Amino acid sequence: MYKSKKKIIIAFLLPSLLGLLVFKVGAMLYSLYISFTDWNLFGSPQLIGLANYIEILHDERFYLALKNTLFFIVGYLPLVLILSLGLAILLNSKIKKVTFFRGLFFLPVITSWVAVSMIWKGMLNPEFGIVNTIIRFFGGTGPAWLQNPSYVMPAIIITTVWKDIGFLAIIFLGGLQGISSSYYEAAQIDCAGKWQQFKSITLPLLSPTTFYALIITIISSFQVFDQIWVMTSGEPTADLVPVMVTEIYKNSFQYQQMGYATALSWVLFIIIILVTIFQNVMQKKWVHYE
Amino acid sequence: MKTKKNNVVVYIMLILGAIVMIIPFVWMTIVAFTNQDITYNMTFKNVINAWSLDNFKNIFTSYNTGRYLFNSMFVAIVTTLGQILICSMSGFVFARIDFKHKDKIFLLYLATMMIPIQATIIPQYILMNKMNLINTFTALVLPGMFSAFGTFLMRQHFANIPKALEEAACLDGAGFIRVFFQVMLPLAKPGISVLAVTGFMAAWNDFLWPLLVSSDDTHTTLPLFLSQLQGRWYVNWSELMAATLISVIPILIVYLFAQRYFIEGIQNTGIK
Amino acid sequence: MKRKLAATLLGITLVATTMLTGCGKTNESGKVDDGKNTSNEEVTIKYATYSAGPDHIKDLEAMIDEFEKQNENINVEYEVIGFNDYFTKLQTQATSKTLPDVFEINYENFVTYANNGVLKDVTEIAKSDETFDESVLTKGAIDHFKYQDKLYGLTEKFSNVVMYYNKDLFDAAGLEYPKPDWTWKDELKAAQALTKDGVYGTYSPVQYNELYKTVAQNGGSLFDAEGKPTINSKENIEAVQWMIDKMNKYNVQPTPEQMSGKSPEDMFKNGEIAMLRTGSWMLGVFADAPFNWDIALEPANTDKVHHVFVDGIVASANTKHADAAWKFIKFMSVDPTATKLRVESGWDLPVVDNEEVRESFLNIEKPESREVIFEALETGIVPPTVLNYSRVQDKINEELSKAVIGQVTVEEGLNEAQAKVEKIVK
Repeated sequence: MYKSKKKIIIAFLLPSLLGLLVFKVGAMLYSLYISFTDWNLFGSPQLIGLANYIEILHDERFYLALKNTLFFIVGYLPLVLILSLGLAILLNSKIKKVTFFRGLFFLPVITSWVAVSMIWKGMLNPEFGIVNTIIRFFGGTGPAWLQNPSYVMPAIIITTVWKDIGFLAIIFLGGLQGISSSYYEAAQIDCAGKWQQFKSITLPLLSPTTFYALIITIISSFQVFDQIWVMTSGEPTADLVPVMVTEIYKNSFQYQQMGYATALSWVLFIIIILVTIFQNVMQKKWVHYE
Repeated sequence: MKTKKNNVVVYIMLILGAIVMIIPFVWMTIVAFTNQDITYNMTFKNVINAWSLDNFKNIFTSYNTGRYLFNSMFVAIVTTLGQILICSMSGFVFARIDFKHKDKIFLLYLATMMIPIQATIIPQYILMNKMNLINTFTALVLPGMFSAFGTFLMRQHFANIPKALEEAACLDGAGFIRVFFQVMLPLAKPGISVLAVTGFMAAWNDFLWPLLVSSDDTHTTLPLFLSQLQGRWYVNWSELMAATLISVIPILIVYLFAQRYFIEGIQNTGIK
Repeated sequence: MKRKLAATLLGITLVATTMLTGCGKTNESGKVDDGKNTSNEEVTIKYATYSAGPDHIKDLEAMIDEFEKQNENINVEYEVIGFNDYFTKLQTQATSKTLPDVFEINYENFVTYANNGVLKDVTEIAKSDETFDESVLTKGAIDHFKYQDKLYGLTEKFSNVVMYYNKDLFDAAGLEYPKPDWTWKDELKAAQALTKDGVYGTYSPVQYNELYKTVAQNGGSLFDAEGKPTINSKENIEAVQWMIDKMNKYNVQPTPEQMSGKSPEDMFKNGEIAMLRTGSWMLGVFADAPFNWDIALEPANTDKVHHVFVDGIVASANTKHADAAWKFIKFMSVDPTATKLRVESGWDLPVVDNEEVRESFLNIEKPESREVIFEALETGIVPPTVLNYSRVQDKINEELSKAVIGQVTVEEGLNEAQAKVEKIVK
């Protein structure tokens, strides 16, 4: 369609690609090199071959961290995607004051974890917190969310969904608003019901956005860190529920084991890239581009 | 009549959801406008009695908050503008132009999102240091502009625009640049609006990079200031909440602005 | 075309990577200050601190003003970094040799930095400084920032942990106030009488920092004189058992569940904890508490022991202004104006041992028994000196946490901790 393809590529793609290479790819390759060394950040890195990776394979904490990370993803992903799509549909309605609601749901997104952690810790208080009070109202007994290692992840999932739902809703909203209303008008003429419209128009035309939401959510969920760090700080479970990035952070900035930390990062990276390639391949089956 | 019933349902769900969203904020606001001790005795009377602007006054007088606000604003705005330009351009290429190794290069973009920042941030710092850019606004702003997330987002949005529109413009004899700036970008307004918000937010809340790269008040951003407020042994929650509220408002404004400005009139795109 | 593209990409990445792996030279020219700078040229030194924020920035500025008055050719630019992120940043700066000229450091981290050669050896500068008199420092303070007999900086200030108690609650229960010779048994008796109606008798965290002191109060220790771990000794097990029993057996201390997110200091100020072990840094915060309170020496078992936390200021090995750096270090540590300001603003205590300092500290009204802070010093211990301190701390905290929630017994936990720490300390 376009003549002078080469010029376009150079003018339009090069800035972005160049920046990425300089700032990200170079740093990534360097970190790969470091993963084959022993480096305490003070002196020079000492090459030690695969020793870090071998240590990872024997590290029970690594497996625990990986398990917890996967648990988080499996619990968080479906929940947040479905709920935020639902929210986006609600926020797309032509009701009055919709902008006001859109702003409201965005508040958790823009607030830092430090600020919300204190109140969530209070809400998750086993005795007096709102969450357990509601559970008690329905006849159950709420667990000690942040003090019992088995319930920490569910608590993190719940709070993360709460915090991220507005963000993903905006993304879905952007996608929804990109769907021309002419499709819906045509469908109405054909007497198609709401659910039918949703299935045949909304979902397919939304799929590029859904794909985007899915990919970035997977990528960022594998790297979950801030909320675990902040919500378990001061609790006995602080060191008992590691995820991949808490271990990477600790090893690089606290234990001065930069080699081990970068090796962990690359293991995580390989996992994420495999998952993403899989998604990328699968997209041909369900993502619909114009 | 059907619409009215639907609207009521929508309202109810939104209000319930909003209440869940907003409880922490109500709490935060109360603490910010009163004091720490209130958290134990949060009765209506106590709150009214303790209501004051002291925390806010303190934030602005005891600390260089005005400067931090400005720095965060500057960094976030410049980064966002840069992102909008750079990411929409590259997103467009990935969506519309075919070239050798396109898929591999795109995967490279995705790959850069998959490595935890803790692994690359020290090398990035070393690089900045070698370029003598430590403690400059350039260092704060530059890396964020080349966001792979942004390119990915714009690619999705451009890919979803019907090719027919471009073809029509091309047939009209428009050169590539005109097609891009006059046809594609306007059509991608929802995408740009999302990019603006997410890019602004990421730059505004970024912590680790500014921590390493800024060494004085002239370059310190708000998240660093918030971290400073958490003392080593003890946290003054009411001051922290006040500072947090201050840091939340600009993003909210950007969000609402992006919503209004970019979304209106979009519903009527069709094949003309 | 294909090859060209690949080659260009590769080339760019290589350039970026070579820049990182150090083929470039830094652009810094300029004279190196060998420490004997006697000319009066303007010199600017950068100073990083964590303790000045958030409450003492103005005090720091006042001190810097005074320093600059006394040393007209030296300019100090300071930077405040939150404590939780301080060492993340310092670490990164150490890597690229861009550490500030002078910076605060706590005792626990000092050893690592000294051991890795990123600090400036100031032994010679200190010796040749005629205005510096070691004897103004309290006994032993000069050794805190010495490593392998070389001096790297001076202690700036100290803080310690004592027991705070709510006098009103004691009065209401008809109990005697804690006495200096109280043991754990006395504490338990009082705590049991005080725990009722939503109030808990006592609190001390079950964590590494509290641990090494509590085991010492029972005659135990985490490491022996050679630095080998002795974590699962009999005395240690008893001590940890006591820490946990207070919560789970005697119920005189709130469990983490019962606290869920509230800090013990906030609970004390709200009258929910009657006896609290916390630091001298809380003296100012509790000043406006709505009840009468005081401080006392900590009850111990076999040996009276107290925590002392020590912060010092050191100079980086890559500083170009060693002379100015030393002057600043010395100023912040022993200068009379600085120490006076420090005491008056409640910014911990200087390690200067003179009447004036004591007087101004004791003259502050609340609480009555301020001299306890000085008394506690006499039986004070500093954190164990261990190279991989952060890792050791984490491993021990892991086991302690498991014991607190009942996943393991105290003995199992400490045995496990011993095994893990042995591997790290090797």
